[in-house]
Amino acid sequence: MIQSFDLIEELQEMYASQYGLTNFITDESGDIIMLAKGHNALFNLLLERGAVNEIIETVTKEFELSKTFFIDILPGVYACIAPVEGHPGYLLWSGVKMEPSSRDMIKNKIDHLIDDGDIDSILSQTPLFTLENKKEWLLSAKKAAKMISRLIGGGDSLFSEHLKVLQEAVKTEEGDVSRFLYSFLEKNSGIDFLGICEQRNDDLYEVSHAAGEEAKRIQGASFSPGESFLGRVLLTGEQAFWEEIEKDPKYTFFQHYHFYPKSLFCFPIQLRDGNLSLFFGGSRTSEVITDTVKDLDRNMAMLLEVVLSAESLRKENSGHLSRQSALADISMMLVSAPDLKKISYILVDISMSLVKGPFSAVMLKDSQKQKMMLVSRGDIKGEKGSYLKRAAKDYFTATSDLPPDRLVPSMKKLEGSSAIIECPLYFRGELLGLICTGTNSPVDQETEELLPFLQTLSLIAGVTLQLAGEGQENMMERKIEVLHSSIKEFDAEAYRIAEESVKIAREFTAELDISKPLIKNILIACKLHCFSHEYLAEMFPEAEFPKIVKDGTRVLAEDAAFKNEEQGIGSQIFALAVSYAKNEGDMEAVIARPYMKRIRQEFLSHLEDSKVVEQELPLEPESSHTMESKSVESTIKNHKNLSSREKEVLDLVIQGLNNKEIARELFISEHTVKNHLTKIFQKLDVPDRTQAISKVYQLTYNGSANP
Amino acid sequence: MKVSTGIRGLDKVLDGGIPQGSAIVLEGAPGTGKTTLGMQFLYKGIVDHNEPGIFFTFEEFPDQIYEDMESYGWDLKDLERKNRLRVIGISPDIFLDQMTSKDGLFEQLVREIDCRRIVIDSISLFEYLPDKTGENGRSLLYTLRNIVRKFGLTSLFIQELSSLDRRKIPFEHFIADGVIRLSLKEHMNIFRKRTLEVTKMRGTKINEGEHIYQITDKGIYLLLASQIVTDKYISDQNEKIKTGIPELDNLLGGGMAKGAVYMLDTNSKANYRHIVGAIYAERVKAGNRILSLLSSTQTVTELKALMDLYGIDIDQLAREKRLYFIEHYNRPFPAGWEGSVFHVQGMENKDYDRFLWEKCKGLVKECKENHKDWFAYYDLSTIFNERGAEYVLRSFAKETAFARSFGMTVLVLCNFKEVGEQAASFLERTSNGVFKTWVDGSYQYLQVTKSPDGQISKPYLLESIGQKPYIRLV
Amino acid sequence: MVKREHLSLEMECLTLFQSNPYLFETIQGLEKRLGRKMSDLEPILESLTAQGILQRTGEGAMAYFRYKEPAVIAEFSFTSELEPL
Repeated sequence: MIQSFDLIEELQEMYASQYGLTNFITDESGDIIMLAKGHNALFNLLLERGAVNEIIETVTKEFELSKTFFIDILPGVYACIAPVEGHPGYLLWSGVKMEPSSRDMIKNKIDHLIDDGDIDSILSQTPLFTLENKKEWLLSAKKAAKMISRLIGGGDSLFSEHLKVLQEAVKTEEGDVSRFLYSFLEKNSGIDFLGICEQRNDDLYEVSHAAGEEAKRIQGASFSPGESFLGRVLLTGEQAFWEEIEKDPKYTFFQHYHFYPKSLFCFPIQLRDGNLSLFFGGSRTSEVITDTVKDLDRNMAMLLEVVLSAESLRKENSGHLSRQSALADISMMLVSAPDLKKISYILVDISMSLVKGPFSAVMLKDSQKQKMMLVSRGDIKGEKGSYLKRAAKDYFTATSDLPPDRLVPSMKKLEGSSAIIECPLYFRGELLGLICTGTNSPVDQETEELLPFLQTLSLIAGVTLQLAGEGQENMMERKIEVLHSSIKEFDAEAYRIAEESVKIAREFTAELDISKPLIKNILIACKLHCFSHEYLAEMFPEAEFPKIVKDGTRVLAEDAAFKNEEQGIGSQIFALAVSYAKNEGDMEAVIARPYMKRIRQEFLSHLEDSKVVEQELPLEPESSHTMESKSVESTIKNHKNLSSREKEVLDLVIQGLNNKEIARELFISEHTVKNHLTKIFQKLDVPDRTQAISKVYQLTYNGSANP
Repeated sequence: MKVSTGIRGLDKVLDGGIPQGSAIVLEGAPGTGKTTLGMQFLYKGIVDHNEPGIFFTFEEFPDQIYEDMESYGWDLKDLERKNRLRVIGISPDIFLDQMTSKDGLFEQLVREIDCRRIVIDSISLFEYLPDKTGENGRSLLYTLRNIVRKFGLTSLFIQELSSLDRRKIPFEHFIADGVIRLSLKEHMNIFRKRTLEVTKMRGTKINEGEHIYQITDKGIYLLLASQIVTDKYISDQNEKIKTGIPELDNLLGGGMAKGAVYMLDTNSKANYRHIVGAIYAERVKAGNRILSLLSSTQTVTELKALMDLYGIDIDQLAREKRLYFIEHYNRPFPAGWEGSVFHVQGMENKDYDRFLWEKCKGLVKECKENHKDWFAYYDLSTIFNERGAEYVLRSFAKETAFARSFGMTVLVLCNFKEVGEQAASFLERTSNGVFKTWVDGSYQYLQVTKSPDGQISKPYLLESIGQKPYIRLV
Repeated sequence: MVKREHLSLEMECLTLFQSNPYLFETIQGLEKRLGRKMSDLEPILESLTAQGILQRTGEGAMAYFRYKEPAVIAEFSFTSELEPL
């Protein structure tokens, strides 16, 4: 059940040395499952002599523990017992402290336990139990127990919850999207409404599903691309998060339906037929969206994509009952086993038996280890082998994002042999793997018909692979978080440095052209900057960041013999961020080394820039969207051909108001608004509202790109 | 060589585990946890003892088993990937066919993972299979047992059992090296009690009786009839002292553990005189310093007479200051004993406490320095009567801890029935060992229901004999 | 074509062997486990064996099928030799 002994031991050590106490953990039968750590001589003596056994037994068997409390091991000698949350019967024992007034009595009581040895020195080392430190002890024990509870098994519940939803998603014959929305809502606090928007025949979009109290009111509401928050996502095609939205002019859309969310997110979801749907949700109580909730939102969007696309495939194939149930079977199998190897076996077998060709191969990228795995059936030597290598190179080394038509299964005709089906496995535009299956014939109708089937399969496989990867990372991330939060408990200054360096490194790396995994590693290195690299390497043997800490620490230590060249960019950024944070934001004091002149310069100018932004902010009470519309605003203002009224109308269009709302806002009729719009379209040389909005954005961004 | 079963309690029942290479029948009705026990045997064997294993299932799908066992936190698939475990789904007919073929599947599988343990779930179907020679399942089972022996595999054969009151002993029990039976019993019509009994086991001592087990979230957990929590501090010393009753010494694996506290639970009818007498005399002979607290009914004169039987002159011992008495009743003591008797009548509990700590401790400590061991004979009923139950509950644990820390072996006399259930259970927990003696009809019995190293016994008849120690266990 | 009609049953067999990599079963046994007719199963097992997904051992009524793992190259690169491990 316990997954990380080493970490728990580490925590025990830290807790012990911080407070001069000895501590250990017992389970529901009173067995000590984590041995005592710490140098509290009195407690160690009592433990050694078996004087605590009875108490452990009594407490375990006869107390119903839900609270942290003190117990007197001997009169005047106290231990603190904290239940480990979520693990009934597990107790963290720490102790002992003694009442100063009972010193003589205690001395008397323990005298017989000591054969030789100095009883007075033991007692003088024992921390005192006073009214003042009582509360602090309770709190610290509680905290330690809480961290331990996170390290003892069962922690990846979010991951398994998601897996369950996915299993449900692929299992259902009759897709009931609303049910999924409600099941998401049930499982996730922090979000209290969710919904889906779909395109209608008249090109307008409609809220087709809405779940959550009050959110029902917007069910059936329609809007055009560009209108309000949701319409904006249709234009940009990018996910968006909005906080404190009540102040935003686009808010009228919700007000109109007497719906008052405080924060909102929205994801575009590409359907198989190429159409976009929207998945949105948010909170009616919280104005901000935490990072955890953002991750959650992303995961929900990913699962919903599967639900929607499985449903659309079901609709398309409604005639082919047999194939449908086969798909459900396969999907069940895929999602029941989120493990790279297993998934690849399933894929290679299914593609092989579906196509009945001479060979099939599945190549999977392991993002953590930067390696690739190939699983195959049939003969893949010679000509076919060279083809596989070419295909892999082709797909996996593509520098930019693959164009959409490369993301669906296709037939490839090879010279002098039969056709080959190439089916990429991707998730959110990122290529995770590739299936290549040989056929026995040239391109024909029969094989073509398999492609949609394979596409859905690849989509589900993509999501499953993603989840499998997350499952692997899950444990590591939890360890990192626990270590990080343990710094907070035991070294406030180191924690401040960690927090600050993470913040500055996050901002800075976002500007640089370096890979996402590297950024992630730099940020983890900052989080755990105060641990020795040996310890980190031992704790996370597969991970990259211990090396960053190692090299970065040498940079910081002015190790003259250390040559940190190009490949050490991660450790250089780490060193910059940590030294900046250590010197409390003093730019002059930021570390300088001859080999990192350039990166230091960039770092400093980033700091300058962010300072400017910080200074400007107080003048503008509203956050990013204001800045965005401000520059868009200026684009409109500076547009030479538009009349001032037209500018006003266009401004409101951009802000996401519909015609009725614009009319109300400007005290004119809806008819007049339409007239203004027609003229605006002419002057901007665009056919409709959507294009008008994107034109303004184009002008704004091109304008800023070429000043 | 014993093989751990993966269940701590069961290992104790089997005095360490199953003899290596044995073929054991594990029988029980549906729902008794046979599959779980079987898998726990394999899982723990792999994880704790590096002994790879194979689970053959004739009726279940392996993936069902993977899933079921996940609830105990056992990741079987991971062990399969590491080539330490196989969960094989197979029909019994192919299984038998392959088992007897040279270089067949069975042999291949065993070699592939260097298998040490197997479980077959279940052999019940064999009865209905005709084997090649046309005989019935019995000869198949015989063949099976011989083959697993040939490979040196420690095996569990699971046997379905629908009714527990089979009159004749089933054939499987004759050819197997051991039989473990799981039962599910209605208990007072309220809850069901799961029990495990080892009815046969070649090559090892067994702890007889039905032991209660539970299916927990970590697998099967067995509580020995009268479960004890082993006191590490004591068993570490590992020094045994004789009781003077040879059969009792055998039951205790050589004698009482030095420094342990033993409770002699007697009911009012039982005659404990010779039990106490034998132990007391033996301790005196061994040269122990002895501290006694006699009951209101037991006088010094009586003790003297009892010791005379064993050839011991306590008069002399008292004068030599080898015996000490704590006296609550102000009874007369022979002349010359003055320095050996502490009169505590009328002492407040607080003062009595101080007396024990100061006087007795000093005494014991002093002798300890001269390498003299102590034995205490303590009538707890007296303390209950004179000082109250509350005092006993408060101080007993402390006193036993004191005794242990000085390696003082203690025999406490008490009547559990009289002191009430709550106090009895406290005393039982606090003591390291419990001997129980009682009269049933015209016989008296003695049973060890708890001991520091986990040995418990069945009830023995107590027979009077004509010479020392005047009693014998039958 | 015949194979399309059999797709569902074929996937069923595949699923069974995939999830139970250590299942050793005869056609009769599979008939019981899957609840499908032997005559329907025969061509499918035939075909899965031909593709190398299943392995058949023995002859006649005692012939049994088991899942055969695909070839795996754990560290594949664009230049590696395609000799399975």
